[in-house]
Amino acid sequence: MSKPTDNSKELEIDNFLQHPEVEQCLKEMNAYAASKPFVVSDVLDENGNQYVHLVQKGGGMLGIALVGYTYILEKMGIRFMRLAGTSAGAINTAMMVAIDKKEDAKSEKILKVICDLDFFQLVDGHPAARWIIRNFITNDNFMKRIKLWFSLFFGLFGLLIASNVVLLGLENHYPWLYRFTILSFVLTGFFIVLICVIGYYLLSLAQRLKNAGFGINPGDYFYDWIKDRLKENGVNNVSDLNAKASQSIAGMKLRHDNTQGMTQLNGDVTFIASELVTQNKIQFPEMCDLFKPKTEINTMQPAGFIRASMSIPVFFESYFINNIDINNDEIKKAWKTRFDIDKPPVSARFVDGGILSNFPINIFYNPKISIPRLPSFGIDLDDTKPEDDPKDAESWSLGGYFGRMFNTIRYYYDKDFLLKNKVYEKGIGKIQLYEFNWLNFFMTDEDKVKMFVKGARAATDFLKQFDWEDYKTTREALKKEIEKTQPNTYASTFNPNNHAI
Amino acid sequence: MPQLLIQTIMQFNIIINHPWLWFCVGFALVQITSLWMQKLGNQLKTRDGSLHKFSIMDLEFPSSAQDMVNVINGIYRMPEMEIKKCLKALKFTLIVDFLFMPAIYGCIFLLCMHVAHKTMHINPAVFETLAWLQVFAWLCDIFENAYILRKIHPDSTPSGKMSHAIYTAVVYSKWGIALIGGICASMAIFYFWLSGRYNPDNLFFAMVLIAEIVGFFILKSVLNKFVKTKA
Repeated sequence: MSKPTDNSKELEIDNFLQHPEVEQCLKEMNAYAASKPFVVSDVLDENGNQYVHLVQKGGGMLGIALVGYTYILEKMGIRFMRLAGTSAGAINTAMMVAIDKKEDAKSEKILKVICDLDFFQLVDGHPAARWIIRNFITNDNFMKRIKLWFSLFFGLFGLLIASNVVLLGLENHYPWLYRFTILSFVLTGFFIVLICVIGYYLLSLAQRLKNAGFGINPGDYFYDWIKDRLKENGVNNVSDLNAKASQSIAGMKLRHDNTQGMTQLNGDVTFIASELVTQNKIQFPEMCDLFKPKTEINTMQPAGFIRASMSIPVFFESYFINNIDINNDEIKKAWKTRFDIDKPPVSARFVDGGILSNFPINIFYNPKISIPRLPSFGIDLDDTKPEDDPKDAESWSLGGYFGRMFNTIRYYYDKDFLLKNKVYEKGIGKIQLYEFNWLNFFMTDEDKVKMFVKGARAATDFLKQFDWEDYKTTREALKKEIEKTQPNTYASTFNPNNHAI
Repeated sequence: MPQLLIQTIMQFNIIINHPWLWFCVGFALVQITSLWMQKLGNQLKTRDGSLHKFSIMDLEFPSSAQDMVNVINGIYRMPEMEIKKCLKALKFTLIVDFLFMPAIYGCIFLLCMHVAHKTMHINPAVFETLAWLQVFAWLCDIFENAYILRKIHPDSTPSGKMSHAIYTAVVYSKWGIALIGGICASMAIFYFWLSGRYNPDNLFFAMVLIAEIVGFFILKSVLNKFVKTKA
C-alpha cells in the first residue's frame, strides 16, 4: 500500500503529460492513425473532430485514470456528444461538460483541477474518523498496532487490579505497604478515567454517525469544491448545466448519409444517484422535475447532483433534497409518470449511484436506431485483484461472502444490459487498477500519475482494436434480432429516451 | 510547606469536619440539576444535514469550529415553533448548568480534600492540588458556557483557529481536572473503605448517599412516565 502524500514537491500537469509511457501511447496512436484512416464515428465537426457518447464508471480515487483515458481520446480528435457517469465518473463528466465548448479538448484542464486539489480534504469528517481512515488505508500494520495497544492497556489495567488485591491483603501484615496500596488504587482510578473517556468518545462517535445519517464524512468540502469549479466555468444553475451539455457544435455533419439524418443529435449530461426513500435510480438533471416545478428548477444546485452521485454509503453522509412540494401538480405528475408513485415523498435521500448503476451505459440505448451514427464509448475501472478469483467458494470468509453477495446485486443491473446488448461491449475500454485502493484519498502523487498512465494505456489499446464498421454492423444485426424475437416490445427496453445513436 | 498545607486545611475546618454532610447536599443538587438538564436536553434538535437530536456535549466537543456552527445554525433551519422551543431549552440548559457547577466541583473538591486529609502523613499535596484545581475547572466551565451562549444566534460564524484552540483547551482542561479529581479520589476512598480506615460515624452519610441515588432513579422513571403519558 502507498504511503501518505508527500506534498514537498507540487504535482504539475507535466508530471502526467510528459510521462514517457503517455508520450509512448501518443506516438503509437499517431503511427496507427497514419497507417490507416482513423474512424470511430460518423458525426464530425468542422475541425474534423469525431463525436461519441461517453459513459464513465464510478470508482472513488480510481477516477483519476478516467482522465488519462479521455486525454488520449481527445488527443486523437474524439469529442463527446452525450455524457453520463456515476460517482467519480460523475465528477469527471461534470467537469467535461462545464469546461469550455464541446469542440474543445478538456482533459488537460481537468488535470489542472486534479493537481490543485488536496484529496485528503474530501475526507472532511471528525478528526478521529480521518485518522482511522487514513491509517487503515495507508498503514498495513494499523490493525496489528491497535491490537497491541489494546492488549497493553488492558494488560496493565488487569495488573493494577491484581496489585490492588495483593497489596490490600499484604498490608495487614506489612503496614508500610500502605503508601503503595493507595498509589495502586489511585492509578487504577486513573485508568478508569481513561477507559471512561475512551468509551464515551467511541459512543459519541457512534452517536455522531447515527445523527449524520450513518455517514462518516459530511461531504461539504466536496460540495463546495465542485460548486466552485462549476461556477468558474459558468455553470451556476440547472439551466446553465443543460445549456452547456446541449450546446451546438459548429459545422456538425455526418460522414455518410443516415436515415436518421441530423435529428436528435443533441448533447446532454446524466449523473446517476440512488434514491433511498422511494428506492429508485435517479438521473440528474433529467429528473429534476421530481423535486421542483419547472419554474423553480434553478433553485436546485447542479453541485448537489454530483454530490448525490458520489455519496459512498457510510463513507459520506447521504445527500438530501428536503421540502419537496408534495401538493404541486407538476411534481405529482412527474412521480406518477416516471415511477408510478401517487404520493411523492417530502424528502429524498440519495446515496452513491454506484449501488444501482455504476456504469450506466444503458441510458444511451435506443432500440429504434438501425444504423448508429456514433458509438457509445464506456470507460470501465476494474480493480478486481488477480488473487480474488473465486477458486474456493466454500472457504470464503464472512466478509468475502457478504462482499460477493453485495457486488452481485450492485453489478448485475449494468451487467444484465451488457449481456443482452453485447454490441456495447465493443465500445468499452477497461482500465486494470487492482494495485490501487479506490478509497485511498491520501494517495501519493506518484500513484496518481501511475493511474493516469494506466488510463492512457487502456485508451490506446482500446482505440487500436476498435472497429467502427464492425460496431455498426453488429448494432444493425442486434436491432434485426430484437425485432424478430420481440416485435412488440423491442422499443420499450431499458431506456425511454428518444435520443438516437 | 507541610505547615502551610495544614493551615490551609484548618481554614476549611467546618467543611473538613463535616465533609460528608456537605457532600450529600452537593450530590443531591448534582442529581437534581442533571435530571433537569437531561429533560431539557430532549428538546435539543438541529437540522445539520438531517434533523437529529444533539446534546451540550456536541457543542463542547465539536470536531472543528465549523462543526459547532453547523449545529447552531441547524437549529435555525427548523420550523419557527421548533426553533423557539429548542433555543429556550438550550439557553435554559446552560443556565441550569451554572447551578450544577458549584455542586459538582464542590463535591469533587470535598472528596479530594478528604483524601488529602486522610493521607496527611504520606503526601497530601497531590489531592490538595487536585482539590484546588476544581476551582480552575469551574472557571473553565463558566468560560465555556459564556462562549456557547455568545455563539447562539442566527448566522453564527466559526471562530478563528486561535479562539477555537483556546476553547478546546478550556473544555479539555475542565473535563480532565474534574474526571481525574473525582475518580482518583473515589478510588482512594474505596481503598479506605476496603482497608477499614473509615469513621463508623460516617456510615449514616453513606446511607443518605445510597438513598439519594435510589431516589434519583425513582424520580427519573416517574418523570419519564409522566412525559410519556403527556405525549
